[in-house]
Amino acid sequence: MTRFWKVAALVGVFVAVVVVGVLVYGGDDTERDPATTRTSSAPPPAIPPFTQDRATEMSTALAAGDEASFRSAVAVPVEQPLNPDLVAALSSATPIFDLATVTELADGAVTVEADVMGSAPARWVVYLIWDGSVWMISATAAVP
Amino acid sequence: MRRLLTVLLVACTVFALPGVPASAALIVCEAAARSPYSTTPGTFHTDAQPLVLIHGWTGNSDGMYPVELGLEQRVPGTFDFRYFDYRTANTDWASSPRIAACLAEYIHAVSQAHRASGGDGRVYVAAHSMGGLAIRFATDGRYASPPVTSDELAGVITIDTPHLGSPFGNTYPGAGWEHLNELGDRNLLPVRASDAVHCLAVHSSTVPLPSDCAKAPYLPVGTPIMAVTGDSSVRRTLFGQALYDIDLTSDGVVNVPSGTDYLGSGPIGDPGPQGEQVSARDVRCLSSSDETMLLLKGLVPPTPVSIIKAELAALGSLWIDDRIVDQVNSGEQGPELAVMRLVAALTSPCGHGSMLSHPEALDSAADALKDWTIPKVVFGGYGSVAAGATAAEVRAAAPQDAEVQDLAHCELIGIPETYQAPNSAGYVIRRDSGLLIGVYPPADAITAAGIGPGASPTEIRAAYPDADFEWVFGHEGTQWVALVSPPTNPDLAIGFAFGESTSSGTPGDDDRSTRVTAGTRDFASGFEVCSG
Repeated sequence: MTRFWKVAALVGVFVAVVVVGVLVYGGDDTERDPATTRTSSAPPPAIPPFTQDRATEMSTALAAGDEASFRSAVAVPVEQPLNPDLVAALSSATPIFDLATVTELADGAVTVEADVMGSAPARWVVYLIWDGSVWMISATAAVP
Repeated sequence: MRRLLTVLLVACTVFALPGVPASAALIVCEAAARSPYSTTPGTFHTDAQPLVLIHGWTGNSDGMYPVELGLEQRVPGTFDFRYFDYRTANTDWASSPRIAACLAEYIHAVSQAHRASGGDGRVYVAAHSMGGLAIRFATDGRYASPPVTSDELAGVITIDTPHLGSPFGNTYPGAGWEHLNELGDRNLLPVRASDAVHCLAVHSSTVPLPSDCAKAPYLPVGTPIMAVTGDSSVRRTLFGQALYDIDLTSDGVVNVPSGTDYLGSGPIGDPGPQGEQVSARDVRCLSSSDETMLLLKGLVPPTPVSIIKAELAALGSLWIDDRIVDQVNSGEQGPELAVMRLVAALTSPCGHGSMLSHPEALDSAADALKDWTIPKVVFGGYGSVAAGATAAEVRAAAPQDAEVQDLAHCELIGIPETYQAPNSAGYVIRRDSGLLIGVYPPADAITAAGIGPGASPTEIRAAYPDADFEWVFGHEGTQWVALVSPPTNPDLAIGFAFGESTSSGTPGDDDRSTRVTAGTRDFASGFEVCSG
């Protein structure tokens, strides 16, 4: 392989890797709710930390057992129908967030551990994402 | 000037069809392209068939070992496994001579080695991902000289093969993955085409592949294929409780229609081979998002946080609406679906790599192989021999440890413990002619039409709608026999005997056949054919 082609190949690889990165990181832009998409060219404001106030709000919302409250705490597309019985069932699994365990994964994504009460008490890792205005629950995983 | 124009015209003709080699040229496996990592054909066990394992894009043969383990557990002692390894060119498109021509050369060598070991030279293939396209190209003279023929190729299993491309084909993420693999792979030849990801583009009966990519031809007529693919879904869960399911219709890399629609993957306008033995199976897995996040966090090397964040965003924004269904159907996936599929490829039991050890995938492959390898009762005979075959042909088809028993004017070739009817696998040869007159198949053998002992008269008629059907009172006047034979050759028959019965009336639909024989009309009827 000539030097030219070697350089060209390396440039190609660099470009490809950058593009992959952009696509992966850039997923945010296409995944964000259109209603919250920033239109200003100004730099985005810093994302505030996950606070005890927001943790309490989320616990209260989940305990309410109704769909509107549930959607205020959990990232669910507005178009996605939810089974009211499942939402009601989740009200018994109210998480108590342990803010000492908050860990930043990436800009706009953190984990926090929570003790879940109810019939089968357990400790969970809760994955939160910043939806542009508040922290929302995206996923959970049992603490190994 | 005219000469120059002619040269230009020829050159333009050749280069106007890139990806399709000129048919006159010999497409051979160059010595430098021959991978040293393929296993040597060697010798074969007496009763074992060769099964060649072929890996996929950016892979190597090490990844195929779970398939050997799984198949050996399910069909023990049936196969001697060999590995074709093209890790030195695993980012070339499958039509490349370094893959297709070298694979054809390898299959020829394995087939010849099997013949040299006393076998029939018939080779089975189990291929993962792009390996399934490689064997298709290897059977076409435009990509391999000489190509693999239907005489050599006994059957093909494809696992997660993108018969209609991958949504990551011909995309920047796909290209990025391929280049990253090339950067870290010391086995690759220094000069490589790197065109696999480009040619793995999604295509269909109406959407062509990129013009510089050759389209995989169909396998030779008569070669059976089983296409197995993973089909992952994610159950959105919260604290262990289910919310809703998201069907990814994919193994993460190859969509289900692409992994299963072999018949739809031929040239545009070509309906595909008709009446071929083609089967498909999608293996479904449902993983909860709780499990997925746990697995994602536990992967080694660690999953990049950008992927985890993208998965979290996708979980929070993806729902099953028309837009997603359209993406699934068209193969043109949006970023959310792409991320969730990539994560499924890494974590789902039906993920692109995990399918090689998935029990249901291996069950499907093993079932197909059993179906292809177990001889069937055919008109006039069993497996590859029928009445009229020579004694030498019969001995080649019979088990190596078969023995010979005298039957007056006949000899019976079979395994002593089992050859007495009805538990026999015995071949009856007339001494005077030296030709096969009939076969006692194993008690549980079924016919090529899929029926066997236990079939009712109606089921026999339905299985052989075009055959001549006749009741005869045979077996020394003790049993009714339903005799079926092809109109074109009525002396090659299959007889379904109906136990102890009376001559007063033929069996009804409540009766079931108790044994099956095949041979000449008289033999299949149960008449005495060896005494006089």
